[in-house]
Amino acid sequence: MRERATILLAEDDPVDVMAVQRAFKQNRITNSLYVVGDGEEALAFLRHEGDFSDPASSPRPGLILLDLKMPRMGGLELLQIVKSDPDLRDIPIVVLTTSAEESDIETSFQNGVAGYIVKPVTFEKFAEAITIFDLYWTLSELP
Amino acid sequence: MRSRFQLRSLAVQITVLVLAMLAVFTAALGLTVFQLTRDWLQESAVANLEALAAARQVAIKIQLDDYLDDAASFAHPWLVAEVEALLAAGEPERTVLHDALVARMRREQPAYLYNQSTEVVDLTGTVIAATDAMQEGRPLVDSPAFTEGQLNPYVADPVVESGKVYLDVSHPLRDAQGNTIAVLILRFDAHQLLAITGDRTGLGATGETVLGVRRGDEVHFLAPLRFDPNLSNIAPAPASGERAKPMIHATAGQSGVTHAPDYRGVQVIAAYRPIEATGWGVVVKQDEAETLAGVARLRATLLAGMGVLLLLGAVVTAPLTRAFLLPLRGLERATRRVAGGDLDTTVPVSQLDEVGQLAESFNTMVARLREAHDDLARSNKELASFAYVVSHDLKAPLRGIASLSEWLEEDLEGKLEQDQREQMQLLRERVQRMDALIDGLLEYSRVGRVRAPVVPVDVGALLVRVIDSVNPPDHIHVTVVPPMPALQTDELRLSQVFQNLIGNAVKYHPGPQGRVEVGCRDAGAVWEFSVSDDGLGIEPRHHERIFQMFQSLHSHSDVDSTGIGLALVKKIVEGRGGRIWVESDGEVGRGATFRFTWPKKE
Repeated sequence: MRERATILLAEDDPVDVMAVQRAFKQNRITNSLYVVGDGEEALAFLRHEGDFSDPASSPRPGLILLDLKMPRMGGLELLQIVKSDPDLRDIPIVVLTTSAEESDIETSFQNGVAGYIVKPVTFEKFAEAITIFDLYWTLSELP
Repeated sequence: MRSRFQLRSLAVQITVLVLAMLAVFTAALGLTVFQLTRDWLQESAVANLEALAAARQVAIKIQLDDYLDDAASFAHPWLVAEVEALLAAGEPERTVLHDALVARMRREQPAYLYNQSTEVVDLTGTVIAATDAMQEGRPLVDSPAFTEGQLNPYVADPVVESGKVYLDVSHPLRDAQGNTIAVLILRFDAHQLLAITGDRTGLGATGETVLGVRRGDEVHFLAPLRFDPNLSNIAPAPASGERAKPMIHATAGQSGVTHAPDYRGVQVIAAYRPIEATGWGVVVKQDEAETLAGVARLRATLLAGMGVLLLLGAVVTAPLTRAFLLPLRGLERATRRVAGGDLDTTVPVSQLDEVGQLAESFNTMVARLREAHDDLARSNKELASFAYVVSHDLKAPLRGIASLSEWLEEDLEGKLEQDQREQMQLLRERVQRMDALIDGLLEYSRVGRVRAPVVPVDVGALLVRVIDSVNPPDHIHVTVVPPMPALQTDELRLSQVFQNLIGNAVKYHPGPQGRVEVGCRDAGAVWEFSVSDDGLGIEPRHHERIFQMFQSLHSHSDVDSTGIGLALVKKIVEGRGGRIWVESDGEVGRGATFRFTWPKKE
């Protein structure tokens, strides 16, 4: 992926976190990856609040990978907050979801996500999806 | 549409019933009125004729008496004396006496009675003195005026001479001993008599008074007739004939009323009366058609009245019936709205009668239906969201297991024994199976929950795509038997049905060579599609079970099957009111035929 751009992963399932990390490794994606466990934590990271009050520990990400299903504050809720915050709304967000439900995907697109990846059951396929996504992101004009 | 037709016919039936009752009523009333009035009209017409006949009889009698009185006063003793003297005298004295007599007769002649001429006839029947000199010497020996006049004062039958009607009235001239010495004959212009018979007051356009007399076997008319003033064309009627019947009765001294044809042959009602002491008869008659014209008018009036009444009845009944059926019509519309799926329909209960009760029952029924519908919708929704949530919640740990097992295998690459690798392989297969099951469950929960738009679908083209996606192996030949219809439907669901049925036929085919055939037939309101194969077939005892969820006839290791496909197909087909079934005797090689119906219009 693009040099220097950091990626924020909002994901509560450690296995899914591992999956992303493994997929990155497999695809030789070396961007620094920050992981938060839910929407509130993600918001705190983005706004340098609480545990992330030191801006050095919470650099502005070039991309957010967002799981829709998380405890406390879910992905859709976070999405809405981020997209209505003038400081944050420019950060591209890619939704990671287990769901192929039209309504979730539709809501995500209405809230201006850059794309979505349905998490396949096998890691192999997930890694493939990340590869495709990486390719797309590298070629596109995303910041 | 059918119910609408029946409701309209109910209105028609009621209107027709009311009109029929009205018709019967007015017909009975009309008939009664008609008969009573007709009888009354006829009776009054007859009474009128009789009254007129009586009046004419009296008037004629008086007129004749006037003539006779005139004759009697002319037969004064001076006339008798002068005639006696004349009869006794010889020439030349006789001429003098004659001239004096004629001169006096001329003086005395009663001009006011329109006395035209006066004659004295001797017993030989010879005119011996006349105011009209032309008449003298004329033999009258055969004339009834002379023969009858010798005995009694006598009115002879009127005669027509040069277009005028005359009447001879004779009176015997008797000497002191009472012996007749001569006969006095006064000739009157009969117009006074004719004024009586010619008076047509109260006789309408065809009525008239006829004066007649019987002469032997014939009836003669004595006064001009209304329809033949000159008597020119009237042959005397034979007394035996039907035509002369009233006059024959009258001349025979009878009075009465009768229906008979008159001299023209026209049917008339005639009242007849005799004129005493003359042998004459008077008949007052009127054409039956005119007398009964009132009856015809009455009939026409009554029929028109009935027509108007029926028309009024229809005009009044039709809107009344409509108003009467209005609440029913409202109910019918409401029923159709409910049938169309609008369960918030209620009808106003405005009456306390049966219709009101029906409306109340209807409202109760719809309320119950709504409750049941809402319950069903709620539990359906709950079930769907349950299936959705469960599938999602099941997928997350499954994904974890899948990933972790893969990574384990990757990380332990080269360190695993053969049987351990096989176990890892089995683990992954089970995970994939579980994933397929959950996907199937999700898809199943979506049917009926997510409504796709209805679009025009060319089934032939759809089948090409489906067969392409099923991707049958080379040894199995899938054919579509044309023609395939084009219809308006949910394309995704129809292709899912075909996908499952064709997919199953291909997947479970034992080989080595196989045929799958897709057909279609028009079954009225629906299309009936079929998917036949020549594979293993399905035993009849399994025909029900295969459509249930998670029921597969194949062991998991044999074929990749979830047991959701046919349940999904059944749910899709039955969700549209269709039917799906399988025909097979379970014999290998004969295969199975799946048939399902699909609405022509959604």
